[in-house]
Amino acid sequence: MSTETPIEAAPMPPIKRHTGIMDILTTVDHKKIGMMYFWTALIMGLIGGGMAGAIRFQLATPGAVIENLQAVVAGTKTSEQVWALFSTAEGEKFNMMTTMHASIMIFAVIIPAFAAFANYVVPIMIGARDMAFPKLNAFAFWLLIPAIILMSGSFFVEGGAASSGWTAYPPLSLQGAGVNPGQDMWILAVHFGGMSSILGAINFIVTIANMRCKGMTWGKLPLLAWAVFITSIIQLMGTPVLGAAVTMLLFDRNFGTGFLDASRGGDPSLYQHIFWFYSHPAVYIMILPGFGALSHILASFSSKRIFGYFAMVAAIAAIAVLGFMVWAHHMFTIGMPTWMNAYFMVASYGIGVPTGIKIFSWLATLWGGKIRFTTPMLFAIGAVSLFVLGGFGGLILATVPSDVQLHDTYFVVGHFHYTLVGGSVMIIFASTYFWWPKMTGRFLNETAGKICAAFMYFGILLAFGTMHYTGALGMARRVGFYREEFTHLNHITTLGYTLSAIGAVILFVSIVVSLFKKKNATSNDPWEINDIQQSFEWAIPSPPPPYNFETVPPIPVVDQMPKGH
Amino acid sequence: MSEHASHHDDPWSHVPPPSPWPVLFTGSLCVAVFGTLANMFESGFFWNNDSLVMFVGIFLSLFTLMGWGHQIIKEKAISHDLDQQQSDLKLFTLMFFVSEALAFGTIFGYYYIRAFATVGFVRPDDIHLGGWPVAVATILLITSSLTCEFAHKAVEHGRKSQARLLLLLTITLGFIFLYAQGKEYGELIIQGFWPGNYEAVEYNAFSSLFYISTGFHGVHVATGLLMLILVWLRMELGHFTQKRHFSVVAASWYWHFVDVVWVLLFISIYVMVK
Repeated sequence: MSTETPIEAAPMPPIKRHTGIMDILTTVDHKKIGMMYFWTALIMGLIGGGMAGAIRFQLATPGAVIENLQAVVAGTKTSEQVWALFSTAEGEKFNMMTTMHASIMIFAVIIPAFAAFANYVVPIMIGARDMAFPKLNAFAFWLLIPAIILMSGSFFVEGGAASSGWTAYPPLSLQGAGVNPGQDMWILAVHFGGMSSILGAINFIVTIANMRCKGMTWGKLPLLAWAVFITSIIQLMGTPVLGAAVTMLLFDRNFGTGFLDASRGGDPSLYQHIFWFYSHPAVYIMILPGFGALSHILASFSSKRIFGYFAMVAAIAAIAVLGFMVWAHHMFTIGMPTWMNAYFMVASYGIGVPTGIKIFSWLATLWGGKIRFTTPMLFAIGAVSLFVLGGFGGLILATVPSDVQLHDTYFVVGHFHYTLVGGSVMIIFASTYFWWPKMTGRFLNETAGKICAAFMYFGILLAFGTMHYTGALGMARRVGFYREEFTHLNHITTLGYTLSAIGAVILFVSIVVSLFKKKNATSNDPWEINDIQQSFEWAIPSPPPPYNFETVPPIPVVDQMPKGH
Repeated sequence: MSEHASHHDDPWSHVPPPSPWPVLFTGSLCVAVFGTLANMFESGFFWNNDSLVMFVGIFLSLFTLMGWGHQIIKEKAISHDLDQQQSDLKLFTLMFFVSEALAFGTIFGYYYIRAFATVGFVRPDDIHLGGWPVAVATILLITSSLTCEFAHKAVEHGRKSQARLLLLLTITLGFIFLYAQGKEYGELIIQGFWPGNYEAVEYNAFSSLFYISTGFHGVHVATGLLMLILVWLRMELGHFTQKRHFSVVAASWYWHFVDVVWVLLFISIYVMVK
């Protein structure tokens, strides 16, 4: 073949770029794709938040549970009649709401929101012009759209949306097989979202491994890039497993197979093992990029370099490894052997060690720093404190005896909302305020931002803190009715929801308003942090030009761990 | 890596032009999946043309995928930083195999846990799985892995006619394997061994696992064959040089991967009977 003429080697022609809608459809620029991820996450966040509102609306009143149970005891109603109340109309709609609220928040809000910042910032941070595979990057974004269409559209088909919870445990998720397509649409949406995750993850791994600029060694890689790299490995290894699990579900529902359906020789509890093998690492997919972003924000506004760079990287890696070894702590009540329960309990405690390393390194970063309480900093500090509270709830739930009591109560709901809303969403808000001037050249309103931070922080504290009490008293999750004595606690939770909803609306309005303002973040380094931070994204114009850098990156790469630490 | 500094020194390196193919391919996948879904539930959602929509979607998906591939081939042929590209693509392929391995790993995990640690996973006694056709097919697939490797080496050394011969031999062996598998499926289905058969409900879990593992593998063989055929066509068009032939590398790696998975499947399902 060497004797044959290869295709002519010619210089790359000048790039022709489209404008308007054609630009959005055909762009492969990592910055534009990052913004598309961001807008998708923002809009879906409002929808998912609205669904949370619908859930709180249903829970504003207890429903007539007590009267009905008394009627059953007195013999004036049969238990079938009461069961009908739970399984029809409001009960079923409530279950659809909780299922789709969770699915949308996970697959269409938190993961894409972090993908947005990772896409926008990481290639610049490592000194690259774009991702390693720009077209694949665009494809990973576009795959989210069918996932969203399938999830949202499933409300309008016969039988409504999936109502078996975001975990879709069989046999509940096998109900309505062949008749109601809602659950099947959910499965296909997970396939699309999963494909998007895997391709995005491979792209980040290759980009960070191969596209770093001269002098950017692994030991100098910014923490966000490290976090995204390790998160991508989790996504790469976890998502195919989830894909296989939901495929088994799809086949059991439609093609008569017997993987998970006990009446056909299947094993429903094995589904839970496979599902959580993905979905426990998935909770780290939703928080580790946030840990990276948090490190940048806390260091920036403490006017210091991050404390314990290498320990931070090691802690992220340790969390990723341990994350694959603790999945069954979600299922202590399914009747595993005692030794397995004991192992998963102790291993789950183990996660506390690297997480503790991170928390204390952040505190040490703040220690003795010249702290500026800007909006991103307020959100970041709030996120650390709420995440710690969520972590304490996690320790209680990882303990087998207390978990058996608290399983499937609102204590669990309170715990994971502390980590996902108090942690991930607060960090997403912080990152938005932090990088928005870089992304658009416009500051978000600082006063509104501080009010937003207060609403979010106290709203989350009130809503999900109260849930711990409600759950400890015995209120079951995934049921749209409750005993009357929980009414006041539920009112407090609804109040907390309202506060954080106001916070979210403030952010949305600030973003929209900022688009109509003239550019006010004109310098390369609008937060005035780069003398100390020395990161590429603050060394190029805001917003960055196409292809980021003309030639080699303009500033030398510095050590992450300077002398004296 | 830091030694791949070429893409920063070259002003035209890694400045990707826009592409319509990602969004078009996603749209086509959308049409195919929505059509399939509507078809499955006989909903008549697309004005009673659900099957038509499904087939149009599948056709468009293939077409847009080819368009995407065409753009990549054009771009790669004129770009400068060969080393960077090869190293990116190799890492991509390896990472892709990791995700594939985890998907197969889930199926293997399900099989081993069900077969050796739980009850209710019954293997039918009266139905004969495997036998000499499967053994021969296995040997042929392993042979095809070898011929594929030699084809790859022949491309590396610029021996075109040898490469063509070996590639065509690999493709033929792959088709024989698929034929043998299809034949086995046919015989098993005639004997009533298939997941939807409720008269054999106690064998349902095993037959489901049997068909999904071998079927998922069969889809991979078919994909690998498609890749090898495309490689052969591109070789005839003179696209490859001794240095620039990543498609050959990728197709050959993929073929080895599929081969290894089959050996593990063969040992697990046909040989290692409890």
